[in-house]
Amino acid sequence: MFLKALEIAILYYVIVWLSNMAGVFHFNRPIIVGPLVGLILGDLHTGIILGATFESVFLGVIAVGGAVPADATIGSLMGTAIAILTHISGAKALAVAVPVSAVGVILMQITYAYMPLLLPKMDQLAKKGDEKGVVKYNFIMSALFPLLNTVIIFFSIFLGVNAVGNLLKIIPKFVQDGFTAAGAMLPAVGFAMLLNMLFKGKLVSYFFLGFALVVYLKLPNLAVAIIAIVLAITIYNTTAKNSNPVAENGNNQGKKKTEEEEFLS
Amino acid sequence: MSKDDGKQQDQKVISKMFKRSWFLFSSFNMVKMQGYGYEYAMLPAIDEFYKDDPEGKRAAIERHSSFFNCTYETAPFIMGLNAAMEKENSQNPDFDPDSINAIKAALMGPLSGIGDSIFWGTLRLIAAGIGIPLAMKGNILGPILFLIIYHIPSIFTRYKLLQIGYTSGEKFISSAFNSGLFELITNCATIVGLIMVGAMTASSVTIKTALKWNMAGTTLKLQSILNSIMPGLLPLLLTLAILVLLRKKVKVIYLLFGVIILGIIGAFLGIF
Repeated sequence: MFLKALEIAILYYVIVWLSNMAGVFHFNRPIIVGPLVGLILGDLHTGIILGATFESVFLGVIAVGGAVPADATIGSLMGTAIAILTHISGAKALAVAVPVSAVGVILMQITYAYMPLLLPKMDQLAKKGDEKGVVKYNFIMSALFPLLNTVIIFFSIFLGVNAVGNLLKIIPKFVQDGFTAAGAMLPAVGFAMLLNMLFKGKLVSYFFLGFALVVYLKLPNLAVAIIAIVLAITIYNTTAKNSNPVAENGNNQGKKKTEEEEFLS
Repeated sequence: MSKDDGKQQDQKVISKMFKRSWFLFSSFNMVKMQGYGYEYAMLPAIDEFYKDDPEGKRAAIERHSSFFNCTYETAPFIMGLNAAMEKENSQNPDFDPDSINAIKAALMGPLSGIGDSIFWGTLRLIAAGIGIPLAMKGNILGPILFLIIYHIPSIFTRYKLLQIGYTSGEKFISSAFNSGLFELITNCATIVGLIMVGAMTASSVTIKTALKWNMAGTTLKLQSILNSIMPGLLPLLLTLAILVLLRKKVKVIYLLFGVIILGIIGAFLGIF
């Protein structure tokens, strides 16, 4: 277990560094994390399926304005790892992933508390104009960011997997059925969050259009996406034409100039 | 310096900045957010334009160590615009360097609004909507397509916006603001996002009740009655109920555990 715990911990470090620091965005999403954990533990197929399951649960659970409601990365990583290592079902893996993602939020807050400790040093370097120092400390900070969680993941897998596995094996049937039912309902939380983020009085009706396209016409998501994009382009073109008759016309340079100044002031 | 030399120099700065724009989040923290990541991306421009002016360079480095937070995909536009302003500042003694940070602060909000709705609210949902069903069947193409569908438009946008920001930034902004283009783009992206959320609520949230009654010799299944009213009625009601709770500022983590408890109680009572 020592080696596997080490591999999973290193995987976590690399994933978080790449996605949060190096701009390989969404590399830390469950749909990617699941298969990677599966690959390391020798069960890619289970990893892909669990990744997709967790992705649908956490898809809409996103950070808005810096507040992290659930840490999908650590939740899906631990859920997939424990499921594969102890041969438990997907519903039971969800029973690991959701609580761990909640603990992940607390860990993230600790990380956010220690990250700014280097800032006074960085500000001092910037004030001196020390370019090399600024770059160096920028990357020291990026290296520190995933560190706490990596260490905790290593010890939880090294020491705790068998205990958690045994605990999960004795949970009663109705709890397991409950988790299966909850797993299918949980995406509702995420979609409600997205709905809340995209909420704009007049536009909300489009939500029901998407819903009806799937419920009544049974269209796959890709078809809905194509219809939605075509619709948006049509709306863009008609609105742009109606509201902006002089946009193509270069005669109002003088007016543009003053508005530009207004904006800059 | 001939005009061609200037263009070549600009292109060099742009491609260096683009490479560094990947690291926008590198030192993310709650105080300056992406501040130092932004500075890292700005350094090639600062190096280039203040070659022979150590004091100007020092001031520029200090200037760009301030707070910054913007959507990853739209931030390069501000970088490009700021780089063009730094160039102007290095050549024109009358230029007010305070306007560099002022425009940065002014654009973070609007560009985050557009960027979030296009990339987080729309493109990510489309990518996941295509990737998840494939991955559910154990197909490795699911996760791969998810990344590709997101990243190709994302990388293209970052490069293009950096270039537009650098070469025609101010003109672009003023005309875009004047014509209401920003709002229109945000609205169109929001429409696609909302349709996708609606579609995925219907396809990904599944609630089936197992409740049934025996009435006058026939079995009455609640689920088939509900289906005859409207398929997917329960998922829709649950999603809207959670939306109401969210708008009442109930914490997401309580909602997640609430749904799990609902599932377990429901399974215990035989509702699901």
